[in-house]
Amino acid sequence: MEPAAPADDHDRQLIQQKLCEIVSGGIIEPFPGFDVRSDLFDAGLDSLAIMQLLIRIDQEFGVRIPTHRLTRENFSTIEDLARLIEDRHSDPDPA
Amino acid sequence: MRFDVAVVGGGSAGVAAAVSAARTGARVVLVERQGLLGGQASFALVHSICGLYLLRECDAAPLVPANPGLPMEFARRLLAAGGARGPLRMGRLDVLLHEPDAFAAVAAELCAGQPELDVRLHAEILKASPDADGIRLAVQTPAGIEHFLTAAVVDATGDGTLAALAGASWEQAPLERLQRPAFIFKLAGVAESALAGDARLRIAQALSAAVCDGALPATALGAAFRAGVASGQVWGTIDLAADNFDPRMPALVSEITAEGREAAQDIACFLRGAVDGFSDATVTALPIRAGIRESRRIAGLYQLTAADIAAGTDFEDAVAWSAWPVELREKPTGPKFRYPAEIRPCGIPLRALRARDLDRLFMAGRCISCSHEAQAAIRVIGTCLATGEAAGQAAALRADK
Repeated sequence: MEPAAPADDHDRQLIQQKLCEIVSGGIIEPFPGFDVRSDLFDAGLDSLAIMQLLIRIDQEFGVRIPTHRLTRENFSTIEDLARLIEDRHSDPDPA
Repeated sequence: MRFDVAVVGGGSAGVAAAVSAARTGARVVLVERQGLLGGQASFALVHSICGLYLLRECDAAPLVPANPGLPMEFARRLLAAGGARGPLRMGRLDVLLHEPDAFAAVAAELCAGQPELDVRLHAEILKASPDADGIRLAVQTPAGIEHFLTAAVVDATGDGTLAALAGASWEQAPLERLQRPAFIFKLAGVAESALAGDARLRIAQALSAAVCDGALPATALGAAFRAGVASGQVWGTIDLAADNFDPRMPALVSEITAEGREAAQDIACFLRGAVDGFSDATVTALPIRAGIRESRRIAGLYQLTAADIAAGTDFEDAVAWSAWPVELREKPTGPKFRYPAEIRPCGIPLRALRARDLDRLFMAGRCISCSHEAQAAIRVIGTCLATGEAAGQAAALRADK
Protein backbone atom coordinates (compact mmCIF):
# COMPACT_ATOMS: atom_id res chain seq x y z
CA MET A 1 0.00 0.00 0.00
CA GLU A 2 1.25 3.47 -0.92
CA PRO A 3 2.00 5.85 1.96
CA ALA A 4 -0.30 8.89 2.16
CA ALA A 5 2.45 11.45 1.71
CA PRO A 6 2.86 11.32 -2.09
CA ALA A 7 -0.88 11.95 -2.63
CA ASP A 8 -0.67 14.95 -0.27
CA ASP A 9 2.39 16.18 -2.11
CA HIS A 10 0.49 15.85 -5.36
CA ASP A 11 -2.45 17.87 -3.98
CA ARG A 12 -0.09 20.50 -2.68
CA GLN A 13 1.62 20.75 -6.06
CA LEU A 14 -1.74 21.17 -7.77
CA ILE A 15 -2.73 23.91 -5.34
CA GLN A 16 0.61 25.66 -5.81
CA GLN A 17 0.35 25.35 -9.58
CA LYS A 18 -3.16 26.84 -9.57
CA LEU A 19 -2.01 29.66 -7.27
CA CYS A 20 0.89 30.43 -9.60
CA GLU A 21 -1.56 30.70 -12.50
CA ILE A 22 -3.82 32.99 -10.47
CA VAL A 23 -1.12 35.40 -9.31
CA SER A 24 0.56 35.56 -12.73
CA GLY A 25 -2.80 36.22 -14.38
CA GLY A 26 -2.71 39.94 -13.66
CA ILE A 27 -2.51 40.05 -9.86
CA ILE A 28 1.24 40.66 -9.78
CA GLU A 29 3.95 40.90 -12.40
CA PRO A 30 6.26 37.99 -11.42
CA PHE A 31 9.91 38.99 -11.68
CA PRO A 32 12.46 36.72 -13.45
CA GLY A 33 13.10 33.66 -11.29
CA PHE A 34 9.80 34.07 -9.38
CA ASP A 35 8.81 30.75 -7.75
CA VAL A 36 6.64 29.32 -4.96
CA ARG A 37 9.07 30.62 -2.35
CA SER A 38 9.39 34.18 -3.68
CA ASP A 39 7.99 37.01 -1.60
CA LEU A 40 4.69 38.14 -3.09
CA PHE A 41 4.98 41.59 -1.49
CA ASP A 42 8.34 42.08 -3.23
CA ALA A 43 6.53 41.25 -6.46
CA GLY A 44 4.09 44.10 -5.89
CA LEU A 45 1.27 42.57 -3.83
CA ASP A 46 -0.58 45.66 -2.58
CA SER A 47 -4.03 46.12 -1.00
CA LEU A 48 -5.82 45.81 -4.31
CA ALA A 49 -3.87 42.72 -5.34
CA ILE A 50 -4.48 41.10 -1.92
CA MET A 51 -8.22 41.60 -2.29
CA GLN A 52 -8.26 40.14 -5.77
CA LEU A 53 -6.16 37.20 -4.67
CA LEU A 54 -8.50 36.46 -1.74
CA ILE A 55 -11.50 36.59 -4.07
CA ARG A 56 -9.85 34.20 -6.56
CA ILE A 57 -8.95 31.81 -3.73
CA ASP A 58 -12.60 31.89 -2.65
CA GLN A 59 -13.77 31.23 -6.23
CA GLU A 60 -11.21 28.57 -7.17
CA PHE A 61 -10.86 26.64 -3.92
CA GLY A 62 -14.09 27.53 -2.10
CA VAL A 63 -11.97 28.70 0.80
CA ARG A 64 -12.10 31.79 2.97
CA ILE A 65 -9.00 32.19 5.08
CA PRO A 66 -9.95 32.89 8.71
CA THR A 67 -8.97 36.33 9.98
CA HIS A 68 -6.71 35.03 12.75
CA ARG A 69 -4.60 33.10 10.21
CA LEU A 70 -4.14 36.12 7.98
CA THR A 71 -0.70 37.46 8.87
CA ARG A 72 2.15 38.73 6.79
CA GLU A 73 4.16 35.56 7.59
CA ASN A 74 1.31 33.27 6.47
CA PHE A 75 0.68 35.25 3.34
CA SER A 76 4.13 35.95 1.90
CA THR A 77 4.69 33.18 -0.65
CA ILE A 78 2.74 30.76 -2.86
CA GLU A 79 3.96 27.98 -0.54
CA ASP A 80 2.44 29.78 2.49
CA LEU A 81 -0.83 30.35 0.67
CA ALA A 82 -1.05 26.70 -0.42
CA ARG A 83 -0.58 25.68 3.21
CA LEU A 84 -3.41 27.98 4.34
CA ILE A 85 -5.71 26.51 1.69
CA GLU A 86 -4.76 22.92 2.57
CA ASP A 87 -5.38 23.58 6.26
CA ARG A 88 -8.73 25.09 5.43
CA HIS A 89 -9.67 22.02 3.35
CA SER A 90 -8.81 19.65 6.17
CA ASP A 91 -10.40 21.84 8.86
CA PRO A 92 -13.29 23.73 7.30
CA ASP A 93 -14.45 25.11 10.62
CA PRO A 94 -15.81 28.62 10.02
CA ALA A 95 -13.83 31.36 11.71
CA MET B 1 -4.43 93.78 -18.84
CA ARG B 2 -0.87 93.07 -19.83
CA PHE B 3 1.35 90.55 -18.08
CA ASP B 4 4.76 89.15 -18.88
CA VAL B 5 3.69 85.62 -17.97
CA ALA B 6 0.30 83.98 -17.50
CA VAL B 7 0.22 80.65 -15.68
CA VAL B 8 -2.98 78.67 -16.13
CA GLY B 9 -3.69 76.07 -13.43
CA GLY B 10 -2.91 76.70 -9.75
CA GLY B 11 -1.82 73.21 -8.75
CA SER B 12 1.66 72.38 -7.51
CA ALA B 13 3.21 73.00 -10.97
CA GLY B 14 1.32 76.25 -11.57
CA VAL B 15 2.06 77.72 -8.17
CA ALA B 16 5.77 76.89 -8.56
CA ALA B 17 5.77 78.37 -12.09
CA ALA B 18 4.00 81.59 -11.04
CA VAL B 19 6.19 82.12 -7.97
CA SER B 20 9.47 81.40 -9.77
CA ALA B 21 8.53 83.66 -12.69
CA ALA B 22 7.55 86.47 -10.29
CA ARG B 23 10.82 86.06 -8.38
CA THR B 24 12.73 86.93 -11.56
CA GLY B 25 10.85 90.25 -11.60
CA ALA B 26 8.22 89.34 -14.21
CA ARG B 27 4.61 90.57 -13.95
CA VAL B 28 2.63 87.35 -13.57
CA VAL B 29 -1.02 86.29 -13.41
CA LEU B 30 -2.02 82.87 -12.07
CA VAL B 31 -5.43 81.58 -13.17
CA GLU B 32 -7.13 78.83 -11.13
CA ARG B 33 -10.65 77.50 -11.65
CA GLN B 34 -11.25 76.29 -8.07
CA GLY B 35 -11.50 78.52 -5.01
CA LEU B 36 -8.16 77.38 -3.64
CA LEU B 37 -4.62 76.66 -4.81
CA GLY B 38 -2.79 73.34 -4.68
CA GLY B 39 -4.62 71.32 -7.34
CA GLN B 40 -4.65 67.57 -6.79
CA ALA B 41 -2.61 68.06 -3.58
CA SER B 42 -5.42 70.10 -2.05
CA PHE B 43 -8.86 69.68 -3.61
CA ALA B 44 -8.44 66.08 -4.80
CA LEU B 45 -7.04 65.21 -1.32
CA VAL B 46 -3.80 63.67 -2.62
CA HIS B 47 -1.90 63.65 0.68
CA SER B 48 1.64 62.59 -0.12
CA ILE B 49 4.39 64.37 -2.00
CA CYS B 50 6.32 61.86 -4.08
CA GLY B 51 9.45 62.50 -6.11
CA LEU B 52 11.05 64.92 -3.63
CA TYR B 53 14.06 62.67 -2.94
CA LEU B 54 16.42 60.58 -5.03
CA LEU B 55 15.99 56.79 -4.87
CA ARG B 56 18.26 55.20 -2.24
CA GLU B 57 20.23 51.94 -2.32
CA CYS B 58 19.18 51.08 1.22
CA ASP B 59 17.49 52.52 4.31
CA ALA B 60 20.84 53.65 5.72
CA ALA B 61 21.78 55.78 2.70
CA PRO B 62 21.32 59.54 3.21
CA LEU B 63 18.24 61.33 1.87
CA VAL B 64 19.13 63.59 -1.05
CA PRO B 65 16.65 66.09 -2.50
CA ALA B 66 16.00 65.51 -6.21
CA ASN B 67 15.38 69.22 -6.82
CA PRO B 68 16.77 71.44 -4.07
CA GLY B 69 14.99 74.68 -5.04
CA LEU B 70 11.29 75.44 -4.75
CA PRO B 71 10.20 71.80 -4.14
CA MET B 72 12.26 71.66 -0.94
CA GLU B 73 11.25 75.18 0.06
CA PHE B 74 7.64 74.01 -0.23
CA ALA B 75 8.41 70.91 1.87
CA ARG B 76 10.17 72.97 4.56
CA ARG B 77 7.27 75.42 4.78
CA LEU B 78 4.77 72.57 5.08
CA LEU B 79 6.80 70.94 7.86
CA ALA B 80 7.24 74.25 9.69
CA ALA B 81 3.46 74.81 9.59
CA GLY B 82 2.82 71.34 11.07
CA GLY B 83 1.15 70.38 7.79
CA ALA B 84 3.41 67.47 6.91
CA ARG B 85 4.91 64.34 8.43
CA GLY B 86 8.08 62.56 7.37
CA PRO B 87 9.65 61.95 4.97
CA LEU B 88 8.59 58.34 5.57
CA ARG B 89 10.26 55.32 4.00
CA MET B 90 7.68 53.17 2.18
CA GLY B 91 9.33 50.14 0.67
CA ARG B 92 12.01 51.58 -1.63
CA LEU B 93 10.49 55.05 -1.73
CA ASP B 94 10.64 58.16 0.46
CA VAL B 95 7.43 60.14 0.73
CA LEU B 96 6.43 63.30 2.58
CA LEU B 97 2.87 62.98 3.93
CA HIS B 98 0.96 66.24 3.93
CA GLU B 99 -2.38 67.70 4.93
CA PRO B 100 -4.23 68.99 1.83
CA ASP B 101 -5.50 72.15 3.59
CA ALA B 102 -1.94 72.95 4.67
CA PHE B 103 -0.75 72.47 1.08
CA ALA B 104 -3.32 75.03 -0.10
CA ALA B 105 -2.24 77.41 2.67
CA VAL B 106 1.48 77.15 1.83
CA ALA B 107 0.67 77.67 -1.88
CA ALA B 108 -1.33 80.80 -1.01
CA GLU B 109 1.42 82.08 1.31
CA LEU B 110 4.09 81.65 -1.39
CA CYS B 111 1.96 83.55 -3.90
CA ALA B 112 1.08 86.28 -1.41
CA GLY B 113 4.82 86.85 -0.89
CA GLN B 114 5.21 87.97 -4.52
CA PRO B 115 3.94 91.54 -5.14
CA GLU B 116 4.38 91.03 -8.91
CA LEU B 117 1.97 88.08 -8.91
CA ASP B 118 -1.81 88.43 -9.32
CA VAL B 119 -3.87 85.36 -8.42
CA ARG B 120 -7.31 84.85 -10.00
CA LEU B 121 -9.33 82.15 -8.26
CA HIS B 122 -12.70 80.89 -9.58
CA ALA B 123 -11.33 81.76 -13.01
CA GLU B 124 -11.68 79.46 -16.01
CA ILE B 125 -9.67 79.82 -19.21
CA LEU B 126 -11.96 80.27 -22.23
CA LYS B 127 -9.69 81.27 -25.11
CA ALA B 128 -6.00 81.46 -25.94
CA SER B 129 -5.13 83.19 -29.21
CA PRO B 130 -1.52 83.70 -30.26
CA ASP B 131 -0.82 86.76 -32.42
CA ALA B 132 2.14 88.99 -33.27
CA ASP B 133 2.02 90.80 -29.89
CA GLY B 134 1.84 87.74 -27.68
CA ILE B 135 -0.90 85.44 -26.51
CA ARG B 136 -4.36 86.83 -25.81
CA LEU B 137 -6.29 85.05 -23.10
CA ALA B 138 -9.96 85.27 -22.20
CA VAL B 139 -10.74 84.16 -18.68
CA GLN B 140 -14.20 83.69 -17.17
CA THR B 141 -14.41 85.06 -13.63
CA PRO B 142 -17.46 85.58 -11.43
CA ALA B 143 -17.23 89.30 -12.39
CA GLY B 144 -17.32 88.60 -16.12
CA ILE B 145 -14.77 87.86 -18.82
CA GLU B 146 -11.27 89.29 -18.30
CA HIS B 147 -8.80 89.69 -21.15
CA PHE B 148 -5.04 89.40 -20.74
CA LEU B 149 -2.24 89.96 -23.20
CA THR B 150 0.88 88.03 -22.20
CA ALA B 151 4.33 87.55 -23.67
CA ALA B 152 4.58 83.95 -22.50
CA VAL B 153 2.18 81.38 -21.00
CA VAL B 154 2.67 78.28 -18.89
CA ASP B 155 0.16 75.46 -19.26
CA ALA B 156 -0.05 73.97 -15.77
CA THR B 157 -3.64 72.83 -16.19
CA GLY B 158 -2.75 69.14 -15.90
CA ASP B 159 -5.21 68.47 -18.70
CA GLY B 160 -3.33 70.55 -21.28
CA THR B 161 -6.41 72.78 -21.60
CA LEU B 162 -4.49 75.95 -22.44
CA ALA B 163 -2.36 74.28 -25.13
CA ALA B 164 -5.44 72.72 -26.72
CA LEU B 165 -7.23 76.11 -26.75
CA ALA B 166 -4.14 77.73 -28.31
CA GLY B 167 -4.12 75.11 -31.07
CA ALA B 168 -0.92 73.34 -30.02
CA SER B 169 -0.53 69.61 -30.74
CA TRP B 170 -1.15 67.11 -27.99
CA GLU B 171 -1.81 63.43 -27.54
CA GLN B 172 -3.63 61.23 -25.08
CA ALA B 173 -3.21 57.52 -24.42
CA PRO B 174 -5.99 55.19 -25.59
CA LEU B 175 -8.71 55.10 -22.92
CA GLU B 176 -7.93 51.52 -21.92
CA ARG B 177 -4.36 52.50 -21.10
CA LEU B 178 -4.95 55.84 -19.34
CA GLN B 179 -3.86 55.88 -15.70
CA ARG B 180 -6.93 55.33 -13.57
CA PRO B 181 -8.36 58.16 -11.49
CA ALA B 182 -8.01 58.04 -7.70
CA PHE B 183 -10.82 58.87 -5.30
CA ILE B 184 -9.51 59.87 -1.88
CA PHE B 185 -11.50 60.44 1.31
CA LYS B 186 -10.63 61.24 4.89
CA LEU B 187 -11.81 59.35 7.95
CA ALA B 188 -11.59 60.72 11.49
CA GLY B 189 -12.13 58.98 14.81
CA VAL B 190 -10.03 55.95 13.88
CA ALA B 191 -8.17 54.15 16.71
CA GLU B 192 -4.36 54.36 16.64
CA SER B 193 -4.19 50.54 16.47
CA ALA B 194 -6.50 50.29 13.45
CA LEU B 195 -3.68 50.17 10.88
CA ALA B 196 -1.04 48.50 13.09
CA GLY B 197 0.67 45.19 12.32
CA ASP B 198 -1.23 43.03 9.85
CA ALA B 199 -4.35 45.21 10.01
CA ARG B 200 -4.09 46.12 6.33
CA LEU B 201 -4.29 42.44 5.37
CA ARG B 202 -7.33 41.94 7.58
CA ILE B 203 -9.04 45.06 6.19
CA ALA B 204 -8.35 43.77 2.67
CA GLN B 205 -9.91 40.44 3.63
CA ALA B 206 -12.99 42.02 5.22
CA LEU B 207 -13.58 44.28 2.21
CA SER B 208 -13.05 41.54 -0.38
CA ALA B 209 -15.43 39.20 1.47
CA ALA B 210 -18.03 42.00 1.63
CA VAL B 211 -17.68 42.61 -2.13
CA CYS B 212 -18.06 38.84 -2.80
CA ASP B 213 -21.18 38.75 -0.64
CA GLY B 214 -22.67 41.80 -2.35
CA ALA B 215 -22.53 43.88 0.84
CA LEU B 216 -20.20 46.42 -0.82
CA PRO B 217 -19.98 47.57 -4.45
CA ALA B 218 -17.03 46.36 -6.55
CA THR B 219 -15.68 49.95 -6.35
CA ALA B 220 -14.57 49.10 -2.80
CA LEU B 221 -12.06 46.59 -4.16
CA GLY B 222 -8.61 47.97 -3.77
CA ALA B 223 -9.44 50.58 -1.16
CA ALA B 224 -6.14 51.31 0.56
CA PHE B 225 -5.70 53.07 3.89
CA ARG B 226 -2.92 55.24 5.27
CA ALA B 227 -2.60 57.22 8.51
CA GLY B 228 -2.92 60.99 8.11
CA VAL B 229 -0.80 63.75 9.61
CA ALA B 230 -3.07 64.23 12.66
CA SER B 231 -3.88 61.40 15.07
CA GLY B 232 -7.13 59.53 14.48
CA GLN B 233 -7.15 60.51 10.83
CA VAL B 234 -6.90 57.94 8.06
CA TRP B 235 -6.94 58.44 4.30
CA GLY B 236 -8.84 55.99 2.15
CA THR B 237 -7.94 55.75 -1.54
CA ILE B 238 -9.92 53.96 -4.22
CA ASP B 239 -8.61 53.57 -7.75
CA LEU B 240 -11.88 53.96 -9.59
CA ALA B 241 -12.73 51.17 -12.00
CA ALA B 242 -13.40 53.39 -14.94
CA ASP B 243 -13.55 51.60 -18.27
CA ASN B 244 -13.69 54.05 -21.17
CA PHE B 245 -13.23 56.92 -18.74
CA ASP B 246 -12.06 60.09 -20.47
CA PRO B 247 -10.95 62.86 -18.08
CA ARG B 248 -11.71 65.46 -20.78
CA MET B 249 -15.42 64.68 -20.55
CA PRO B 250 -17.03 66.63 -17.67
CA ALA B 251 -20.04 64.31 -17.52
CA LEU B 252 -17.76 61.29 -16.98
CA VAL B 253 -15.70 63.11 -14.31
CA SER B 254 -18.94 64.04 -12.51
CA GLU B 255 -20.13 60.44 -12.76
CA ILE B 256 -17.03 58.86 -11.23
CA THR B 257 -16.85 61.58 -8.57
CA ALA B 258 -20.44 60.76 -7.55
CA GLU B 259 -19.58 57.04 -7.61
CA GLY B 260 -16.57 57.70 -5.37
CA ARG B 261 -18.58 59.76 -2.89
CA GLU B 262 -21.12 56.98 -2.53
CA ALA B 263 -18.45 54.28 -2.23
CA ALA B 264 -16.58 56.26 0.46
CA GLN B 265 -19.69 56.39 2.66
CA ASP B 266 -20.45 52.69 2.02
CA ILE B 267 -16.90 51.70 2.93
CA ALA B 268 -16.91 53.85 6.09
CA CYS B 269 -20.23 52.33 7.14
CA PHE B 270 -18.91 48.82 6.57
CA LEU B 271 -15.63 49.49 8.43
CA ARG B 272 -17.54 50.89 11.45
CA GLY B 273 -19.47 47.68 11.81
CA ALA B 274 -16.90 45.08 10.82
CA VAL B 275 -13.31 46.15 11.46
CA ASP B 276 -11.51 46.70 14.78
CA GLY B 277 -10.55 50.30 15.47
CA PHE B 278 -13.09 51.82 13.03
CA SER B 279 -16.22 51.76 15.23
CA ASP B 280 -16.23 55.58 15.59
CA ALA B 281 -14.88 56.39 12.12
CA THR B 282 -16.70 59.00 10.06
CA VAL B 283 -15.99 60.51 6.64
CA THR B 284 -14.79 64.07 7.30
CA ALA B 285 -13.52 65.10 3.87
CA LEU B 286 -14.40 64.24 0.28
CA PRO B 287 -12.60 65.59 -2.79
CA ILE B 288 -14.12 68.36 -4.91
CA ARG B 289 -13.44 66.08 -7.84
CA ALA B 290 -11.76 62.72 -8.36
CA GLY B 291 -7.98 62.83 -8.73
CA ILE B 292 -7.01 62.65 -12.41
CA ARG B 293 -3.62 61.06 -13.08
CA GLU B 294 -3.36 61.47 -16.83
CA SER B 295 -5.05 63.17 -19.76
CA ARG B 296 -3.50 65.27 -22.54
CA ARG B 297 0.27 65.41 -23.00
CA ILE B 298 1.44 68.42 -25.01
CA ALA B 299 3.89 67.95 -27.89
CA GLY B 300 7.18 69.64 -27.05
CA LEU B 301 10.56 70.09 -28.71
CA TYR B 302 11.57 66.80 -27.06
CA GLN B 303 9.41 63.93 -25.85
CA LEU B 304 10.70 62.31 -22.65
CA THR B 305 10.43 58.50 -22.87
CA ALA B 306 10.30 55.49 -20.53
CA ALA B 307 13.76 54.57 -21.86
CA ASP B 308 15.07 57.93 -20.60
CA ILE B 309 13.57 57.28 -17.15
CA ALA B 310 14.94 53.71 -17.06
CA ALA B 311 18.43 54.85 -18.06
CA GLY B 312 18.50 58.01 -15.90
CA THR B 313 19.35 60.09 -18.96
CA ASP B 314 21.17 63.36 -18.49
CA PHE B 315 20.48 66.17 -20.96
CA GLU B 316 22.55 69.27 -21.67
CA ASP B 317 19.43 71.35 -21.13
CA ALA B 318 18.16 69.44 -18.07
CA VAL B 319 16.24 71.90 -15.86
CA ALA B 320 14.62 69.45 -13.39
CA TRP B 321 15.12 65.90 -12.17
CA SER B 322 12.63 63.04 -12.16
CA ALA B 323 13.35 60.63 -9.29
CA TRP B 324 10.15 58.57 -9.07
CA PRO B 325 9.88 55.14 -10.73
CA VAL B 326 7.38 54.54 -13.52
CA GLU B 327 4.18 53.92 -11.56
CA LEU B 328 1.59 52.43 -13.89
CA ARG B 329 -2.01 52.38 -12.77
CA GLU B 330 -3.61 51.31 -16.01
CA LYS B 331 -5.23 48.12 -14.82
CA PRO B 332 -7.69 47.21 -12.06
CA THR B 333 -4.93 45.19 -10.39
CA GLY B 334 -3.13 47.94 -8.52
CA PRO B 335 0.01 49.92 -9.27
CA LYS B 336 2.95 48.41 -11.11
CA PHE B 337 6.28 50.03 -10.34
CA ARG B 338 9.18 49.94 -12.81
CA TYR B 339 12.41 51.02 -11.21
CA PRO B 340 15.38 52.24 -13.23
CA ALA B 341 18.14 49.66 -13.67
CA GLU B 342 20.56 51.90 -11.79
CA ILE B 343 19.66 54.37 -9.10
CA ARG B 344 19.97 57.54 -11.12
CA PRO B 345 17.44 60.33 -11.61
CA CYS B 346 16.38 61.28 -15.12
CA GLY B 347 16.95 64.80 -16.36
CA ILE B 348 13.97 66.70 -17.73
CA PRO B 349 15.18 68.85 -20.62
CA LEU B 350 13.85 72.36 -21.12
CA ARG B 351 12.76 71.17 -24.59
CA ALA B 352 10.16 68.91 -22.88
CA LEU B 353 8.69 72.04 -21.25
CA ARG B 354 8.51 74.03 -24.52
CA ALA B 355 5.68 73.50 -26.98
CA ARG B 356 6.70 72.32 -30.43
CA ASP B 357 4.12 74.44 -32.22
CA LEU B 358 4.08 77.65 -30.21
CA ASP B 359 7.19 79.52 -29.21
CA ARG B 360 5.53 81.39 -26.30
CA LEU B 361 3.96 78.29 -24.73
CA PHE B 362 5.65 76.40 -21.88
CA MET B 363 4.34 73.37 -19.98
CA ALA B 364 4.67 72.26 -16.38
CA GLY B 365 3.33 69.36 -14.31
CA ARG B 366 1.71 66.24 -15.68
CA CYS B 367 1.01 67.59 -19.19
CA ILE B 368 4.64 68.17 -20.25
CA SER B 369 6.01 66.56 -23.39
CA CYS B 370 6.52 62.89 -22.57
CA SER B 371 5.29 59.43 -23.49
CA HIS B 372 2.42 57.72 -21.67
CA GLU B 373 4.87 55.60 -19.64
CA ALA B 374 7.27 58.43 -18.80
CA GLN B 375 4.24 60.41 -17.62
CA ALA B 376 3.70 57.69 -15.01
CA ALA B 377 7.00 58.82 -13.43
CA ILE B 378 6.95 62.61 -13.90
CA ARG B 379 3.33 63.20 -12.83
CA VAL B 380 4.07 63.11 -9.07
CA ILE B 381 3.80 66.30 -7.02
CA GLY B 382 7.50 66.69 -6.15
CA THR B 383 8.38 66.58 -9.86
CA CYS B 384 5.45 68.88 -10.74
CA LEU B 385 6.89 71.49 -8.35
CA ALA B 386 10.26 71.11 -10.09
CA THR B 387 8.99 71.36 -13.68
CA GLY B 388 6.82 74.28 -12.53
CA GLU B 389 9.81 76.14 -11.14
CA ALA B 390 11.81 75.55 -14.33
CA ALA B 391 8.95 76.46 -16.70
CA GLY B 392 8.21 79.66 -14.75
CA GLN B 393 11.82 80.83 -15.04
CA ALA B 394 12.01 79.92 -18.72
CA ALA B 395 8.72 81.70 -19.47
CA ALA B 396 9.94 84.84 -17.66
CA LEU B 397 13.13 84.77 -19.74
CA ARG B 398 11.13 84.39 -22.95
CA ALA B 399 8.93 87.34 -21.91
CA ASP B 400 12.01 89.46 -21.32
CA LYS B 401 13.14 89.06 -24.97
